[in-house]
Amino acid sequence: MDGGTVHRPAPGVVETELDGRVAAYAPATDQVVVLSDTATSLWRLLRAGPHTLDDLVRDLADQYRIAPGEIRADVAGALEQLETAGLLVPAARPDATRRR
Amino acid sequence: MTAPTRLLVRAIGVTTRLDVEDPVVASRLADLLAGLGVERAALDGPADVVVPASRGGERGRAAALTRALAEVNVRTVTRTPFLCGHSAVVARPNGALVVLGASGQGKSTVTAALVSRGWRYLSDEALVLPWDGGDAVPYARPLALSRWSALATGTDGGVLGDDETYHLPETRHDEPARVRDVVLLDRPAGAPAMVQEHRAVALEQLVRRAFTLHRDPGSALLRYASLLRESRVWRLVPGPPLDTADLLGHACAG
Repeated sequence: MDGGTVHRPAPGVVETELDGRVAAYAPATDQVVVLSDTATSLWRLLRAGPHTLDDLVRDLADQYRIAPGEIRADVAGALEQLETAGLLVPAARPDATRRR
Repeated sequence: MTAPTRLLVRAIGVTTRLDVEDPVVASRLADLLAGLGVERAALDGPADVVVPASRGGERGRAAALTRALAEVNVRTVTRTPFLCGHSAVVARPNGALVVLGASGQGKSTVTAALVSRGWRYLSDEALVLPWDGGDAVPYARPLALSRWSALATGTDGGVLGDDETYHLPETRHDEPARVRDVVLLDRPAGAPAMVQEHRAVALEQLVRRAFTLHRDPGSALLRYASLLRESRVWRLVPGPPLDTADLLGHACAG
């Protein structure tokens, strides 16, 4: 997965949270999915604003105080699952997209 | 040739016109469907379900009965205006218990055992909820039990179907009931056991088993989540049916 592509929640997604996990309905795929803990963490970040894979890895590594290299594959996998479920769409990269 | 008997079956917002050519089968169906609401009616307009005269004596009647019950059920749970999903539901004065599991996993057996332990019957087929909130609505179709399940739960009598007997429990809960506990059925083991389960796992199962989800999946998701927030969720490893019912009765008492 391209680490520089910007992702954001797809329009029309209906979501709710239950005991710390997000469940969501994606109109694009007509699927209801209950997210894993990792995907829930990702989703919360993406709800706050568009992120690239690199952004997500960096933020989650900060959050959980682990090396980015250790979580990159998991984050990429979860991101792919969210995309496949129709919960995410690629977003145009605005100038304001955070880069550190 | 005599005219068929027209039965009007009214349940959870769906009316089914059922024409039954064998009067014995018609009489049995009328008794078994009493928990849903059934009346004899004039042959006015086309039927939704036709049950042809059975051949082969009692065996043919049993097959006709099974087919008729299945057709009425499928028609009802897929056309109901309620949010409706595959579950068993029983109740006590302090609230209802929903049992979630795949077909053939033992929902009806657990339900029959609970009924024989004093729980009131709402359904062995469907959790029926108003979309905009409110309690679980009864859908008291007859319980379908294998010979083993009937014996193991002390459920006597019944009407013979294809591979099972049908029983309409006398202790039914005729009013909507507030869901208090949700149980996910696991594979059976020697002794029954229960542990608390994550609500999100139950949400996944409720969504997967919903018959009418397609009407408004987003609202269904929110409705089920709201129900689960107010419920306790358990995973149940069933054992002998009556022991399992006793365990459930104890765990869900508090």
